[in-house]
Amino acid sequence: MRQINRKLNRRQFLGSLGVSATALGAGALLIQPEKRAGASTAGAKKYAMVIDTNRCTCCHGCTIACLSENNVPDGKYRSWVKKIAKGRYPDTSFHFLPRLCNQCEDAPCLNLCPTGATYRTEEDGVVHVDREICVGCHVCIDACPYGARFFNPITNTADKCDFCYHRITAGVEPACVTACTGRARIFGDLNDPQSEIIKYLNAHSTQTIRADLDTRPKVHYVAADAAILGADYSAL
Amino acid sequence: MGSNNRRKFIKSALALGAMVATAGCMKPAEKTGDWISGAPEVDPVDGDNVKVVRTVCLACHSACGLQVKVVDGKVAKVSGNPYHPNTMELHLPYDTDPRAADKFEGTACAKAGALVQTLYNPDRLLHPLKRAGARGSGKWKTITWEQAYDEIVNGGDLFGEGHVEGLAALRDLETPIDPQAPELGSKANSVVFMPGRIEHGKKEFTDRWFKNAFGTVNNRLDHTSICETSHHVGLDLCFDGSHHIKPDIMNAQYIIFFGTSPYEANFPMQALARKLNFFRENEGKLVIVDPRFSNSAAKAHRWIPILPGTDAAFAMGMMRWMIENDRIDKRYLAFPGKKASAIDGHLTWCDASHLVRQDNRKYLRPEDIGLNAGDKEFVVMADGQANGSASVAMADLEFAGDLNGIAVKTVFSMLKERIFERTVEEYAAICELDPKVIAQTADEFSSYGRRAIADFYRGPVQHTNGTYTARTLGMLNFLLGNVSWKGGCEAHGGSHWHEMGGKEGNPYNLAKALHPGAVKAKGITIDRKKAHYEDSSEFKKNGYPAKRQWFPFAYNNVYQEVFPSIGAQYPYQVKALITYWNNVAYSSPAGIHQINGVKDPKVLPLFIAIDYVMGETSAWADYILPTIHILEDWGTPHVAPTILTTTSGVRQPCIPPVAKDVKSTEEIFIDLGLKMGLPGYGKDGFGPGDPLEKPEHWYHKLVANIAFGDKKGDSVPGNTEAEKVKYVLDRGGRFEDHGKAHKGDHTRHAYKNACFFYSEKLATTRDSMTGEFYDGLPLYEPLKDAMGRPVDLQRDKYPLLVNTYHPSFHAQARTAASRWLMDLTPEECVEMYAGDAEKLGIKHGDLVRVHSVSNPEGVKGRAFVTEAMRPGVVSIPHSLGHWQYGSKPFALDGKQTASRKFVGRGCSANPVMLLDPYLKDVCLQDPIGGSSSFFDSYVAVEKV
Amino acid sequence: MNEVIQHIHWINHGVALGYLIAFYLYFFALAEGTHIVSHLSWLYYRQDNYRPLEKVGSFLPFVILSLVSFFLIADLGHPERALTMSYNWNWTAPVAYGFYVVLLCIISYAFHSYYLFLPEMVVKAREGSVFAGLYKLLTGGLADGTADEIRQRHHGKERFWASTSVTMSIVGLIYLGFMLSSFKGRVAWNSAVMIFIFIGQGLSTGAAFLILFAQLKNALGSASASNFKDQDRYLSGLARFFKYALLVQALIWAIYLMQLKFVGQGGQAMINLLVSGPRSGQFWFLQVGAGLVLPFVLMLFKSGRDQWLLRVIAALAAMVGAFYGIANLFIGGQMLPMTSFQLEQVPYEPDKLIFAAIMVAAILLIFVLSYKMLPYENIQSEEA
Ligand SMILES: Nc1nc2c(c(=O)[nH]1)N[C@H]1C(S)=C(S)[C@@H](COP(=O)(O)OP(=O)(O)OC[C@H]3O[C@@H](n4cnc5c(=O)[nH]c(N)nc54)[C@H](O)[C@@H]3O)O[C@H]1N2
Ligand SMILES: Nc1nc2c(c(=O)[nH]1)N[C@H]1C(S)=C(S)[C@@H](COP(=O)(O)OP(=O)(O)OC[C@H]3O[C@@H](n4cnc5c(=O)[nH]c(N)nc54)[C@H](O)[C@@H]3O)O[C@H]1N2
Ligand code: SF4
Ligand code: SF4
Ligand code: SF4
Ligand code: SF4
Ligand code: SF4
Ligand SMILES: [Mo]
Repeated sequence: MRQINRKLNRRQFLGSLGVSATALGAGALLIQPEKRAGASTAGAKKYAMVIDTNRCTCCHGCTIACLSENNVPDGKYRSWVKKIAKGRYPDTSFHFLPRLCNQCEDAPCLNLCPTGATYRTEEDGVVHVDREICVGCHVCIDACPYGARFFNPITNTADKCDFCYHRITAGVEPACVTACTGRARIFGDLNDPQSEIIKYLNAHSTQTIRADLDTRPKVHYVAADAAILGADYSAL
Repeated sequence: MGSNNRRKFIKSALALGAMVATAGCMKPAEKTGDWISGAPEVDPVDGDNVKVVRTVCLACHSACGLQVKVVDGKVAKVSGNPYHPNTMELHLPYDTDPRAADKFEGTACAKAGALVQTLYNPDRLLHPLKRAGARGSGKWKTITWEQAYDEIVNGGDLFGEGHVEGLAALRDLETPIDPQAPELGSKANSVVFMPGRIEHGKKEFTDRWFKNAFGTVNNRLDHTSICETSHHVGLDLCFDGSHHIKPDIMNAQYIIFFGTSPYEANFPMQALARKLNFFRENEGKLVIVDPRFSNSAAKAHRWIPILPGTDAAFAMGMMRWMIENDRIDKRYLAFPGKKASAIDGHLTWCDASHLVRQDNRKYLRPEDIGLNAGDKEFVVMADGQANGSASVAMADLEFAGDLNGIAVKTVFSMLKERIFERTVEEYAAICELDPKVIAQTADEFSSYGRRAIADFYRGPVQHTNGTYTARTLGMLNFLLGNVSWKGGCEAHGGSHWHEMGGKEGNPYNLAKALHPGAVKAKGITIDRKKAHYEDSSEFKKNGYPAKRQWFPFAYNNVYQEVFPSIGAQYPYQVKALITYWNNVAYSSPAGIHQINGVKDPKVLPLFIAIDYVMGETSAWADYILPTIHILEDWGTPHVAPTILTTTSGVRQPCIPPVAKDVKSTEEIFIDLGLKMGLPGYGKDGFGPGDPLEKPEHWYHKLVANIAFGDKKGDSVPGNTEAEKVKYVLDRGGRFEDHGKAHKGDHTRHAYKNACFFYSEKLATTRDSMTGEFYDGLPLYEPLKDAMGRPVDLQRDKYPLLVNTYHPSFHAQARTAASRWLMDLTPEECVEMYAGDAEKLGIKHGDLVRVHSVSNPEGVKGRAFVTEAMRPGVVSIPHSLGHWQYGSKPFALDGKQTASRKFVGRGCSANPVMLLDPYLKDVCLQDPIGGSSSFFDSYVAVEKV
Repeated sequence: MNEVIQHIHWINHGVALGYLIAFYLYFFALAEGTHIVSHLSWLYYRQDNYRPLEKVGSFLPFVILSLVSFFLIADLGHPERALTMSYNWNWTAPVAYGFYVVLLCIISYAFHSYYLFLPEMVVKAREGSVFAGLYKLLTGGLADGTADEIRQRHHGKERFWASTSVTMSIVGLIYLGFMLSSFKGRVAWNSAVMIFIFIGQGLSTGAAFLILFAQLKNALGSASASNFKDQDRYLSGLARFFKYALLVQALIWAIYLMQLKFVGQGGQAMINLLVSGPRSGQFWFLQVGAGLVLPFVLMLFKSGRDQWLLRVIAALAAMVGAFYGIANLFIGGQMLPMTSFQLEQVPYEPDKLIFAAIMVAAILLIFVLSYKMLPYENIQSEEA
């Protein structure tokens, strides 16, 4: 639905492109694409993920599933896993931190995208990139405090995890969730009190990455090591 | 469609061989190197062009079910099959509609996900190749299948190097291969089939060809001895017909894993990970005994960085502590047999109370002392009286004395004597650990009743003492009496339906019937497995030592002995070697020396490789017959006892072969069978009117056997055989429902037989080199060479012990072909303890050279400096360091092929592993199990 | 003990916005700064014979800004969509405003230069000098009166565009700082000091640039001897301003580094990155040594400032150093917080760098050509 709307808009303004080149003034501002499909937010979903780092084994099943499902170009990642080694022999420890876009409720990437190509579907809170509008300015890639974005050299636009929107809207869980060998990833709707994710959140204490930035991430972590989540977020 | 686009790139890439592809919808993309993946659009979820096929993985050997999404005839995505218990906890009920199941996905590990890339591997071989220069020269020419078959079957002056006998001439079932030694069998034995990795379905198919149609004993000399064979052999000598144990993880409370990283490897890594997570979340305690701090150790309650090769000493220390502190299940040990142990609800019993003759090392049999008892019974003492083992409820555990003039002891007395030869402190000193660690482990281990288990895999057994260690570790469980209990040690697992038939419900008895004109192969295999040297003519002539080792217990083949034996022409000359899925040169310890055995066409006249890429070993062949990838193939692989419900996965082609001029193994052997007129192929292959002309004919029967089930009335739904077969294929196999894992306090498909502390078989067999008896008890044995002598390790020059392991996202020789997986792999692959590195002046990322006595040139890789490693150990993860496999070009029809450098990144530990100082052409080996030693080599590391 | 991170494996988030954008920021600030400095000096001197310098400070920034905008476009994944940024406009994003800020700067600079050059062009066109045709075209007809009269006539408009353009220049510098400071996840940028850094940057590089290119103009010989002497005096005066601008810049950076100390481990990491980390060479030798200390020392005394050669050397050094200031801040800022403290992984994009080099060459060429073609010097001699 929404996609189609956007496309029509695009065609409209493509037609007006020649004109707009000369009419760069305020008038042109009026043909801004209509704000995201006016779906009412009542009864809206709020998709989120819990990642239990206790369960993560750093197997990278998620990484590969995501690459394959989303046809991510070589060397780029929508999902990845950091492995952090701490301590001295024999008191060593490893900490695994699976990463993906946090689908922030107050998303710096969205706030700073000059074109509005980064947008949120209000009906479920997922943050997307509209490849038809994105000019590929890289601003959002720097704006995301979590390194969740990359420049896609095939589409020449910004790209990132969109919670596998094509799957979740078809009733299938995200690829990294179904692939996860440790069952470390739990996906669901925070607005549905019966959902597995709500139960998991209620039963565990969770953290988000860099809560200090107040981006309100929707990816929550169980038992992530302080060294990974703390102020020295260089480990992300 | 996007994924379409991607597959298109890949396809054209394959056709072109090399590529500089541009892609994208808007403007040409930047060049993404020589492998392109990525496409503008994501994969479609469903649609008319989308097909879901359920098959079985072989990215690693764990046989997980796969659910493969095929879009417009191209494989787009590999996920887990939700019907398959490896991939989902509470796998889908078997009667779930297969289309409804499409929306579920089981887990798929990284290796499985990357199958897409190994399938569309641009380095795949596309046509039959014949060498165009000397063997190993790297010069090839493309030939037709017809020519390949013709030359292989009929021979001739094939390479301008003189006449080469073809397979037809070698099929001589009458003439002895060595008139001086008729026990070696006929001339047909000069044809050797040496697959590396081969799985059920294909195993039986090729056995049928080589053993029963062609007539060579050298059928299927597969890879298991470079894998974990001493684990199997050792356990086989502990059980009766069972050779694999696993904990019933979901119900256990305490698990010690010796030398395995269940979160990264083992069978199946993904089910183990999932179940162990459940286990830990339910307060289960996980202990990892491993010199390397693995990802599993990171999850463990305790990590014990043992000195490699000393696990038996650790276990014996535990045993001593447990005996001294009365922490063993004495009741279980004292039950002399099946009936007796059933009193406590046991399904198994053990031989601890059985008497052993001290004169001939055999169990004391009732007739030895004129006792009246059943002929399967043993003799036990009860209240000071000798009795048949079936006639007492509880026997004396300890006894040593004379019965009718025969010195006897109970197994337990012998065990105790053995164990008490050293103190816990002395055992700890061998392991270079604090004695408290052993005591604490023994204390914990014996505090959870029958819900504690000791398990192990490759680490402790791929040593020269592997079999003894395997037995010793296995026995830890017997002391707790935990075998076959819920939450205990599982020695059987859910097993599988018998695809080869022969059970009452099966329609096709492929094992025994359906092979008109079958012949019988006789003789000794080239690797002398399952054969006693004492029966040979050579022994009669020369006595001990044999020229090379004989392996009476190595029922799994001695893979690393094949090439050196061919080179040594011992015990006879091999005239034709056929390899399939084999990379012994890359995968086995000291593998690069293996090539010497097959280099010389005068020694080995014909070498045919069946491979799908230019493998390091296949590169030395005369012919390479290009074959297919597992996603294009058939199979009926079995799962490990990790899975407690009956499981028969069926591998089936997801797409037709990507390359058109390649053939499956089955097709190749059907073609060759027809060409040679071997019995059992063609339109009457299975019998009149029952053809074996294509792989489907074979697999239809296997799947039908699975569908009908072993027992009468155990069939899957369906009115006709075709419907039943479809029912199974739609679901990717046949799977018992998850509720059937347990029955009461036991696992349902449990092992219900004896457990042996003492191995009579071992104790009464002599080593072919030393002529000495093997040991029937738990034993710690230091490193030794083929002659049983200690090995001079020159520790002053070579101070570090080299180790290796399977990272969770790599498998064997195969995964380096995936750019995705290689991108996950750190550049630095020589993992060493920071303290050692500092002493050597090595910093993280430095290029270092690892070398040994056997390989002074050594291998080069970057140092990964870590605290997570036992000091003195250097670990090099497997799957890296290819020197062929597409990492290097070769000359094809006069032109250099394309190559991908990343395939050869890093290094492997195998080239620097030690050669046996006596034999000098093969690595150190376990003379009992036949395992090659992976973990006994000392090396030096220096910065370059 | 267990707190020591020994090793972090995998994924280094590269630098998304590379050197092309760093150049862009640098030239942007430089152009704005040049314009501000030249105009402020005009307000200070209010001498007719200062005007040639003001022309330099107005026209060259116009050229720079117009052409440097192509850096931005070239860096886009979809350059063909550049213009859509005028109406696909997200009001919360400072970059979106950038489009208009730059546009307005360019337009106001154009008008301002136009009115500055107008009198001379009219006169020259009338005189029928070499480029009379061009001047006629640009001025759209031949007005009457002397150059002064014409200037008088257009005084209002010129003043209007002068103040507009200076305002725009200040807005531009503030915009740059504000834009960077809006990246709340980038510890190095997310600070109000950013605005002052760009203002300082603008003023010092602006002064340097003016010194350099006025000198070049004179070296190319368009000024008469007396003009030359006057302008030399102005330049020496400008050098004093330049000296203080350097001091201010140093002060702002000191404040910047100090405030980084107070923004947690991330800030400390940024300090380390600059002071002792992978960028320390660029920071100490290029940014501080060449960019601040050397020119400051050279310009410290009047004797130095009066020497055109020393002025040029100081200006050049400051401009190079200032570039590394931008690079340290901009590229270095992207190395945090996401990487493992290795030197940044800037994607190697030779095409973009070649493009940048060509653009810079084009800019220089236009400067030189303009010195030959445009009437920079006053035509007062008529009356004298
Ligand atoms: N250093 C070190 N060495 C090890 C190990 C280790 O941990 N460290 N592990 C050991 C273990 S456990 C094992 S089981 C062995 C396994 O060792 P191998 O059995 O030798 O390894 P594989 O990867 O199974 O494949 C062998 C060859 O089969 C061919 N091949 C690959 N894919 C396909 C395919 O799809 N179809 C066909 N027809 N052929 C194919 C390739 O030529 C490949 O080189 O390695 C052992 N070697
Ligand atoms: N990811 C992945 N999984 C796999 C495979 C794969 O290739 N990749 N292959 C499958 C196959 S074929 C096999 S055989 C299994 C192998 O399964 P595992 O046996 O679990 O695999 P390895 O990685 O070889 O583990 C051996 C471990 O033993 C340690 N070790 C070495 N020497 C000693 C010793 O003397 N004592 C002790 N206690 N530890 C020691 C090593 O450090 C290493 O961690 O994995 C299967 N699963
Ligand atoms: S994680 Fe980054 S990309 Fe994702 S919504 Fe938040 S700011 Fe945007
Ligand atoms: S790259 Fe695209 S999505 Fe990102 S900020 Fe620029 S226009 Fe927006
Ligand atoms: S939700 Fe989908 S896109 Fe996001 S990380 Fe997981 S697999 Fe990738
Ligand atoms: S698949 Fe799951 S267990 Fe494996 S690395 Fe990803 S999150 Fe961790
Ligand atoms: S564990 Fe092995 S068999 Fe299972 S999906 Fe992974 S690679 Fe395939
Ligand atoms: Mo293996």
